[in-house]
Amino acid sequence: MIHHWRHRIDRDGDSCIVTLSGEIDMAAGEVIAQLLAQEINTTASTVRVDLEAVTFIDSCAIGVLVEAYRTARATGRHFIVTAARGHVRKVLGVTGVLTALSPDTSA
Amino acid sequence: MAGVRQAMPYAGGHTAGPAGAVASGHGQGDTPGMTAEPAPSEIGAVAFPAPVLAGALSRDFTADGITALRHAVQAAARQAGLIDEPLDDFAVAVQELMTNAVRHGGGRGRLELRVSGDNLVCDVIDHGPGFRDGVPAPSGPPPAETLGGRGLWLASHLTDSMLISNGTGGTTVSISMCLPAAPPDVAAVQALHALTDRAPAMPGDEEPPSAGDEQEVRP
Repeated sequence: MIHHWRHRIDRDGDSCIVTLSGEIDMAAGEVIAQLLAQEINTTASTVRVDLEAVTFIDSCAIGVLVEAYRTARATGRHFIVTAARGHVRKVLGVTGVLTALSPDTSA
Repeated sequence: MAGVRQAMPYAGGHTAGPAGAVASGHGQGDTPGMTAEPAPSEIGAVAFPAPVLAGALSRDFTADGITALRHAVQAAARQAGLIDEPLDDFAVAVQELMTNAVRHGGGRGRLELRVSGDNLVCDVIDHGPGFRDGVPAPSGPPPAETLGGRGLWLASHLTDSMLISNGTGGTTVSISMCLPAAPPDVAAVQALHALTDRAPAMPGDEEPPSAGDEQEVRP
């Protein structure tokens, strides 16, 4: 099966950056959900998800990000989505999750 | 004006009948002033090409095939003339309908994509239980911290229309996107003008030709 997305994890002290690329849809959602849950569990402070190289997201991907956001907050951690652009940013915006996931307006 | 009546069959369809009929009419109404014009049957071929099949796609899908089918839909939609942001919007909407069919509609579905007039239409059919509590009609997205419930709202928000047929044997969701206007085909417009201005009356017309410009082109 061809994978249309990739990821990279950079850990630095008590925070980490999960960089995603490609197309994040239902097929990718479950794996990314597990991946984010694990990073949140093992990171003391802040998990950032860099979406700059992501070209497609759907409601499944949004659900995965929101779930990670809720998990992080419930355990006293920060979860921040950064660098969403183009149509990905539009989809996050119209569904009303951009402000919650990317509190920094320059995200 | 009789000429308009002659030209209409071209605009209404792509069958060979009207083109042939007009061509024979041209022969009967042959005048020196018209010999320089291309034969009307050729005009018809230029002005109204064969029915456009771009954008047509019909496939069954399960969860494993959704991403690939979305790519196929994107390619077909691009071929049909959808570009830029509307193309991206359409791709997300189609994705949401396929996801719904797989998750709530029995694990599989069927996708039918077609061009209908000025619209690109996509039907996604599943055989699930449908919406037991009626079709949802949310006016906006769910609260930001809700895990789900965004799919149908997104599909509706990102397309020009969305219709849901909710039945006991399954659900059909139909979305459409208005295609951008094609640049005018100058040759086709000129050819149409030539027809409407000069085409002779047909033998067997329901109404006898009236006086006026009709007379000028009859032998």
